[in-house]
Amino acid sequence: MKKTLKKFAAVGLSLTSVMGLVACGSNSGNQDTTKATVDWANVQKPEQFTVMVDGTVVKETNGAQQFYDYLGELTGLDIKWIRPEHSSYYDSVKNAFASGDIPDVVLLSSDYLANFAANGYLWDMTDAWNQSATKNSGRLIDQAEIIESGNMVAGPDGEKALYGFSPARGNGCCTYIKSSALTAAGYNADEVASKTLTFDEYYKMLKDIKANSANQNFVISCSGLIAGGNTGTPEAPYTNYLPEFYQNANFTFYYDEAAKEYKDGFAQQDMKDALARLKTAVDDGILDKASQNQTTSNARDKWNSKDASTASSVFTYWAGTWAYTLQNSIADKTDKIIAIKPIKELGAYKERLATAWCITYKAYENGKAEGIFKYFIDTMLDGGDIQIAWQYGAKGTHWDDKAETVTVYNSKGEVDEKKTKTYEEGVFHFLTTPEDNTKLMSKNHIDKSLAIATFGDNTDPGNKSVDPLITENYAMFNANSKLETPLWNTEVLSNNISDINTKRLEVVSQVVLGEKSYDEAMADYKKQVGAKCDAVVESLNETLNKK
Amino acid sequence: MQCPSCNTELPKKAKICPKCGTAVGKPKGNIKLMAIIGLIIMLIASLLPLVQSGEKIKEGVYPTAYAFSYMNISMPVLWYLFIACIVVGIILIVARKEFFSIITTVIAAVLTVVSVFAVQFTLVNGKVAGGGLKYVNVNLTDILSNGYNGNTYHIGCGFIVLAIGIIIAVAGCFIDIVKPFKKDLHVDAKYLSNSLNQSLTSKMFYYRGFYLMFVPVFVMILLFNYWPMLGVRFAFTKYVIANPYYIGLYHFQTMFTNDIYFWQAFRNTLILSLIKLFLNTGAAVIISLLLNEITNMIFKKTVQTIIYLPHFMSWVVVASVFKMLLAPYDSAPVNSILINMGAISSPIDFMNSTTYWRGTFYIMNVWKDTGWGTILFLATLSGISPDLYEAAQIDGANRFKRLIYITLPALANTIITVFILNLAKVMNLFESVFVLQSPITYAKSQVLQTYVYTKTFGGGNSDYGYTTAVGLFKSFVGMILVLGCNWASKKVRGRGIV
Repeated sequence: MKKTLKKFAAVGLSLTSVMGLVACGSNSGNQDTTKATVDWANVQKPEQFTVMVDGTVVKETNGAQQFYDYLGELTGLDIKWIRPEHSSYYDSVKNAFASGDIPDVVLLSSDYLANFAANGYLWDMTDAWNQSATKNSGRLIDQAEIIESGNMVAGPDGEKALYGFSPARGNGCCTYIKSSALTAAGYNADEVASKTLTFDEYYKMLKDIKANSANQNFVISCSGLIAGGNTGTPEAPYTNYLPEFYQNANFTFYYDEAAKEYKDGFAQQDMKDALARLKTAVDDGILDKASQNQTTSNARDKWNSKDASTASSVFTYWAGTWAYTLQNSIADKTDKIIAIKPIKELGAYKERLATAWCITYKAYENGKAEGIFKYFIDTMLDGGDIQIAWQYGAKGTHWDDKAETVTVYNSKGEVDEKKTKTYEEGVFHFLTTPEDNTKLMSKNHIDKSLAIATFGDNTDPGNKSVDPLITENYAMFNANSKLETPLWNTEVLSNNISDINTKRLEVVSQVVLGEKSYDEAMADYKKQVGAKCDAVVESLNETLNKK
Repeated sequence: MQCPSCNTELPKKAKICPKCGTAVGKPKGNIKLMAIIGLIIMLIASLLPLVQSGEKIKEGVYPTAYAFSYMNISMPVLWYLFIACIVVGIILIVARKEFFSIITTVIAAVLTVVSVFAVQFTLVNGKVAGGGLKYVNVNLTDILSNGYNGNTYHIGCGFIVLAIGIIIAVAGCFIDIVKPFKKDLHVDAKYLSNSLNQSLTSKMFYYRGFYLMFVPVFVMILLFNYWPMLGVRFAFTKYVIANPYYIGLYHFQTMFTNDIYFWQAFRNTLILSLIKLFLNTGAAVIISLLLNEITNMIFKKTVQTIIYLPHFMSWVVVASVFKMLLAPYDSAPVNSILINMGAISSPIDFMNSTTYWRGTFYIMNVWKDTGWGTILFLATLSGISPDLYEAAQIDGANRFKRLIYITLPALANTIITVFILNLAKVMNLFESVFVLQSPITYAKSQVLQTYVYTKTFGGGNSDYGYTTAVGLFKSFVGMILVLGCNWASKKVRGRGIV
């Protein structure tokens, strides 16, 4: 009996000790929120720090290590890179923050930036940006401040501040048409490209294309009736794959300048009209019915299809580098694609908010934040070697300027004579990508045409190496686009947006594919998520009153 | 004193007869199951609100001072002590020292009372830089009498459940609820043990080799099956990255009273799973019977191989293939056939129609899994004695009669077993639905697992708290189904499945 009691006492005491130790680990979570004044001139280089980034920086299979080494050589920084899988990048980011294994620097999209800033995870870089060499370099493009204003979001105290830095514009989508389709329909491609069409002209053109096409099922095929809608997770700026049909309709909440208040864009007349236009397009066989649940790759396959009876003729997709890819991937190699200007009713294409480099509060607590900003972020657009590295990759791996012959192979493993070129000493040229010797490197993290700072007095060495189609397309897009207005993030919005968007996607599909009338679908919308939308609008308008 | 079994004279204080090994002395009763249930109820009570706010919840807004329990006590060590008391209590009951467990039960009860009246609890009052929350400590006695932030507070259900748990735990020490359900086998106790009534430690030492082999499995189960269960506590919290805070039963209230998506998903899960189960099982039985009738072995094996193959294709591939076959164009295979047959005039959008989606889903499931499902039935069929068929044939039974009176009765037990085993898995429907659904079919296709996925990864704050609550409910329903199946299995087969 005594023995048994002793055993139980021992077990009990051990358990209690363990529980006690676990309890000791808990903290109150109170932190010092005061902001120190920084002497920027004397900020020291940080010791090793961690950087978490998606696949927009050259991947491991494509010479990432050489880029890290090259960047390290140029900046003298000791960086530990964390490279999760691109497709599940934000799952990894969430897990990192949830587990407390927070990196010092992280690349975030606008919605994650707003969310993490509001929860106090990011370092306020307003002062750093104002004092930065980049901002005061005189090399910033006109839109730079507007681009960075997208990173001005509310912190944990509700105050608006800069929590991220975007070295490049966010880019957006423009509408491409195959010249062959236009010619067959009796249109002059150059004329269409230079003209600003009205919706009626545009729609008539689509009908004409269909009438003269082998494909009688659709002219346009895209991924999701709302961007990302095919996966159930809509992505800003939402309406970018079908801009001519949505025009100025807002899929989500927006600030109404005239009424000086936030409104639910989805419940407005503009969206009703947009859905009616889309329904007509589906009924007329202009818009592919399968669009609502197909992936971007399915949509691209239809654009590239060799079978004319299944190929799309009009495709709204990303501007710039994608123009080149779309041109080269169409089945008929003699065909040309044109990018049209935004139609009159649309006014301008939507430029999405750029991803931003953020410094975490953890880095600040470890005394590294200022150093990271000064020596890592502020040097990205230095107008010199570091900017070249961020734009084109590592010298000797992704590009070079020595005298050499760059041999490009075709898919059969033979030398592609057309693409193989010999360069003289001092001439900047791309090398074949480390993972595929049939392709030439084209860019690294920052797209040269999207960078918010130029090379100033220096010349961007990559200017001549970029295909004119890309440059021209970017020029057209940049001249005809407008930055998406960032939506203020409130906790009520963050908590409810998933349910609201799920219902919105359902309504869009039901109305456009004719399952329900607009009134029926919106009655469901009001009934099911109406109260949540009201709460979100109220919370957004409350922030207006606080400002 | 003599041995009741062999009448050998026993030494003083002997527990086991040295001659025959029979346990002597006062017979031990059954483990006091009721007391264990009481202690588990107490453990659950520690997650429930001891004090609850009466505030009216605004739609879409999470409260910050909604409920108080051990989970937001300022001295969590008291909660750990409470848990330790419960654990020790259970160990004591298992060790047949149940009366000592009353002491630990009383200590746990006292700890709760002390915690509520003498210790402060935390509530959330904003955020701080660094990803933390600003906490405020309050006395529950204060907020019970004076309220907080204009809200009134009352005793929560945690107290009531705790009281019930204490009563059951204490009463359970005196009541053997297992006894009425146990049959007296009228067999001497020594024949019921294969280890001559040795103690547990002796048995473990004797079979140490087996126990050693079991260790890796045991560790793996603890790590991957039980350790993650600690995450259940998130169901009672508002999840803020790395800083979840306690909100009592708020998620469950929302789930049951204010979330149309949840009930829609729950209904869809049951409908899709059950119909799929009936169809798959039925189709597998029919195919098995047909295959059983084939006498050409080469043809039979070829057919079997062909129908097994789809099972090994991933759902992503299956979805892609069917999307192509069922594309909403007049040139797509299925639609073109239907149009040419004159069955339809314009193409049907099978995958994007609430009318056709479920039917398409069932057909795809039958196509993919029927072949695999036939394996068990064919094994059973091959075990039927040919003598029975011969005898029936001699008696003049035709093929159909032989099927009805020999094959099906022989197969019945297997059909029920397969059905029961699959019934336990009906709540685990995800991949097949996820790859086939689209926004327009949500009303018919959203199941609990896809709903949890969308809610977690659909943008905004990942509401792990709410989705854990949904997952917990799903597990609860799944557990009921498993236990129900176990009961049904016992009735049908004479033995359980768990």
